[in-house]
Amino acid sequence: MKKITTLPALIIVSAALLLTACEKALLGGDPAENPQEVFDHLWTDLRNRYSYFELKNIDWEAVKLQYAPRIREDMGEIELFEVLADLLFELEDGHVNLTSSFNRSRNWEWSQNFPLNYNQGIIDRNYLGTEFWISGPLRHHIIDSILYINCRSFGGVLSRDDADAVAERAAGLAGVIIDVRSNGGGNLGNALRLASVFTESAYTYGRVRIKNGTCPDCFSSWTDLRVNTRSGPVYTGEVVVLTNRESYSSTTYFAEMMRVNPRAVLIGDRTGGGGGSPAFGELPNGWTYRFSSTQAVNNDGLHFEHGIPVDSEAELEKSDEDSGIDTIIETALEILRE
Amino acid sequence: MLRIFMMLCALALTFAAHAQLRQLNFGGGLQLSALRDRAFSPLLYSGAGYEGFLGYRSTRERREHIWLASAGRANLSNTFNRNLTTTAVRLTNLNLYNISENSNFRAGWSNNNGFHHREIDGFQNFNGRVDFFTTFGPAAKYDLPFSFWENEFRFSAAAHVQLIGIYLPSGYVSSLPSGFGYEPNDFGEAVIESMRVFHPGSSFNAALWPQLDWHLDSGNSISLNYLYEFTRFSVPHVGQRSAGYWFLTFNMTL
Repeated sequence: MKKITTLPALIIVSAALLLTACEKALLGGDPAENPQEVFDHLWTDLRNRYSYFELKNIDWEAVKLQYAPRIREDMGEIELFEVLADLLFELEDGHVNLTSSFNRSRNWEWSQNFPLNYNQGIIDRNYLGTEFWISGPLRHHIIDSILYINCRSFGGVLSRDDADAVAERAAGLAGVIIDVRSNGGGNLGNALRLASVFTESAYTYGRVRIKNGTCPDCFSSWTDLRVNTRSGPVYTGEVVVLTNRESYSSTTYFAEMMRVNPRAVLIGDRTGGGGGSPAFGELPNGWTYRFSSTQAVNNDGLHFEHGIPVDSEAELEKSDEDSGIDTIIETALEILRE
Repeated sequence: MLRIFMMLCALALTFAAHAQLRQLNFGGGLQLSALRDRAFSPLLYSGAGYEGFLGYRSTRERREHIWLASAGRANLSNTFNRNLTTTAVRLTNLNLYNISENSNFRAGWSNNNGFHHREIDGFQNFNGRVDFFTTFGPAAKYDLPFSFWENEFRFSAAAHVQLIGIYLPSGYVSSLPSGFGYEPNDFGEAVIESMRVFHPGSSFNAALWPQLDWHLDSGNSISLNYLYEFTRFSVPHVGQRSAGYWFLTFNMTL
């Protein structure tokens, strides 16, 4: 046996002990969190990964020239937030936000500049009433042999049992109304599960691609978007889908899924868009942001970002609204009664 | 068929007879980790977690084979208290040979395989970024047996540097490697499309693994280990990981 004081052993032990404290040190420190660094990081990441500059004809370099002069070393965080929020506003995209501990920026012009065509109070009082069923995010009630389904969100979980429940309840009825007005989206899987209740065969409803490099046209190849069949019950009757400008994101996808279904018609107003799946990032000062990083088009090449047009436009008439009537639901009921 | 089986048994017995020492190692410990994934953030995330280890060591007169598998999780956070959870699985194989008679050094080659998953709080789509690599490179080990208070110990330190191999990083935006998810590929095509060459200048992985064995009268031993590993990928985004593992293993002689 040898003595413990051998030189190589001491060197290795010393190196190990030094490394023990180096897990962080070897990766370097954080970048400076000054306003210029934060602005540059945000602008650059968006330049590299945002997916709609060309479609929206946005000159991002020109936008930088417009906003960079507003950045000062001594500006406060609220002032910096406002500049960055204005920068992101230029993208005219509901999937673009800047989030700090005190505010979240957004551009909601895709819905705010249009009639809402939706009154939840009227629906609750006069169409759902008190006897409606709740199956996950779906509230449904039978109105004159027609199943009215109100879906305010595709967030959370729309389970197989929830889908079974509406399919079984709709069986034998004269039609189904799916009201996704003011449904801001959520989980695309939920939208697909609901759409699969209304088809006996799988079909393609569009294509999607994702940014895969810094250049403006660096995208993956297009991949089909499909609605697949389900093993549970399916409703094969007529369906009317109600949309408005607040039908956004996954709800835009759902609208196109149903628009392609030959037994479904869309009425109301064009959906708000939201075709790009948002990716997330973090700034040197800890604020986070999200931005569209994919493109999706329907079978005719129309970008989901522009919203899905309806088959038949319908508005919520003020006189009807004052009388507690939802003009668009009444129109859907008439279509299904014919 | 019986003849082949008998031959395999004979080979196994021959292998066992020539092995001076065969050990099964198992244990666990703590990890101190730090990472920066520029696809998420320019900020450094650091924290602690736990790691489990399972190993096998075969030592003969002129060569030594070491297999070390590990799996663990860690909760990291950045300076703004945003959390990130990592899960990692690794399998390392060291093949070491005597470089001279009566030398404490052995040198040879290594193979390292790693899978890493990281999920950041509050990010919804494209979260759960993953990468996988399998690489080869040189390895070396130093052994120093010694006595202390009438107990037998052995200090050893192994190191490896990975030079060539392949890796499958997360996509440019997507959390899955680029061939998956947004490409119309089957699994094989997706793997090939996602594959990148791991080579010096682009990617880096190295580890240093000192350990102190305390030999028990039963022929088994207990080891205090420190394993430090550094990993860097530069495509499609720069990602760096640095982790140190303090762990105890019980080494059962077979």
